[in-house]
Amino acid sequence: MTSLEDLEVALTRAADRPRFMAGPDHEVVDQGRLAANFSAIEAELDAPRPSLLARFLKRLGVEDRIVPLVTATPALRRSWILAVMVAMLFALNAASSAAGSGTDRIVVFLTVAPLVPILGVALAFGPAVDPTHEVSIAAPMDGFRLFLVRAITVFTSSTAMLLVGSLLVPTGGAARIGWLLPALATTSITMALSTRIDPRMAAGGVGSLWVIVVVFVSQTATPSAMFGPVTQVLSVGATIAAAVMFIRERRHLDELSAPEER
Amino acid sequence: MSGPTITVTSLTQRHGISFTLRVDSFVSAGGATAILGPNGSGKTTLLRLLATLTQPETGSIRVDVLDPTVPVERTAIRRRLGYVAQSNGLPDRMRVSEFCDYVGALKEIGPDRLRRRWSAWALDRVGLTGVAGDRIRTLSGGMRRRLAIAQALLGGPDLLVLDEPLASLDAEQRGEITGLLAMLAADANIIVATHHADELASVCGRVVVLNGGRMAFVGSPAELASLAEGHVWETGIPTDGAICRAVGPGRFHCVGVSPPPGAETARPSVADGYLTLVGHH
Repeated sequence: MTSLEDLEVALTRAADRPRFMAGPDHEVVDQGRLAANFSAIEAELDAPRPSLLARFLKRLGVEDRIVPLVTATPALRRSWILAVMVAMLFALNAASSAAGSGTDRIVVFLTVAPLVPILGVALAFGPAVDPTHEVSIAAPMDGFRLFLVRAITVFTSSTAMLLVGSLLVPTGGAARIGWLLPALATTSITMALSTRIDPRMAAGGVGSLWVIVVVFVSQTATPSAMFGPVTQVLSVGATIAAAVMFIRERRHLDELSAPEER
Repeated sequence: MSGPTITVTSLTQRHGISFTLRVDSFVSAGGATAILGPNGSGKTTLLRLLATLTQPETGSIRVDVLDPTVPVERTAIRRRLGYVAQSNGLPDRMRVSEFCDYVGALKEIGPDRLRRRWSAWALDRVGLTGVAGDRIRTLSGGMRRRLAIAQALLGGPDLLVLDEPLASLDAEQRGEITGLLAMLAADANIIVATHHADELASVCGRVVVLNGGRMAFVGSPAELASLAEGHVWETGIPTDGAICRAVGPGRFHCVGVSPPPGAETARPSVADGYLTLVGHH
């Protein structure tokens, strides 16, 4: 028997015998207060053990009121993590078997990587992917903050996996993380557009545009031209502009858009 | 009675291209208000407006003096709101207690110890204490509905907007939830959309009936029942052209235009008044 179970048995017995809790003068304590104390202790005893992720986040120092918002992120599923790893393996495989040298060899990996966090954002917020969306909107926490917490969660987790993948890329030197700033930009643009349209649609549009631009640049210049200094600087600018738009349009995240039932 | 006063003034809200909700003025001051209406009459649209999820195109809603179109005031309304969506809004993969903890965090209840106490209290109110550690996907339809109600109770809101809270519940569970709502109505303003007119009539001090997107009635349950005066009867065989339900062996309770010769007129219920009003859907 665990110590918690011992405690529960002792408290259950005590609840049946109120004088157990009597003070030195043998007067029974206020029964209302006693019941409230028992219910608080019972709530602690009955509370299931927090999930592994919740315990990990608390160890990292994530605020207590933020932890449930992170662990409830719809995109944080085993299937999502598995999908990211499979996509990464395909991209890595393409890099190892590709012809050419340097950054040109890993252009597939660099192109696929920014698509991962934007797909994660598409699966993290909105009525189509989150059954609690309507209840979330009705709560006092603003949609902007909830979306931001979830997007940061998805971006951080997928970026961590992609950075590990970058280390496995056979060549490229520092250029192997050339996807990072474009990923930040495309994710920010997806978030900004999601204030007005369904996040899945926003992610689909931004992702498609990204692939088209990379293919176009690869055709007109070298495959790796898309990941040079100009793109990195433009990515920073696009991130800032998207962040400004996201903040300006934040109010739209607090309302239900295009409800179906009437 | 307490809870905020809701004042609705000449609302309109379009829904797609073929449907517009038009609600004249009514005031809900404490206690419970039932919203009745056939499927597609605009009940959910009205409840979403009252729960601040959407904003009206014309007209206004006030919760006491608070205007839900002003962001700061809308947040203030949401701090005292408990909402049950028609679709439950439950994530299957989460455990019951995790879900309550999550909604508690959305309601800005903290620290986690306080959220756990609120969760334990709310689950106890709806009889789900025993399944706190279970995955939501393993719950029955009735349990899921009761969990949707439990999350609305977190934080002790004094404004409850409930969309079909009795759906999927058996007769005993409906009785328990109706009893719970009666108790909560002493301290809160409850707006509840329902198809169970008679069961909630004992709890609700006023009824709003929607039909085809229009407000067809606002008044007390007794006033709604009185609309069926002279249109309700009991007979040994169902009457053609009337809505009849068996109330005993060889005994039928019918609502229609007028009783057939020899039929015994009966005292109308709230459901009878509703059926008379909406044209026997």
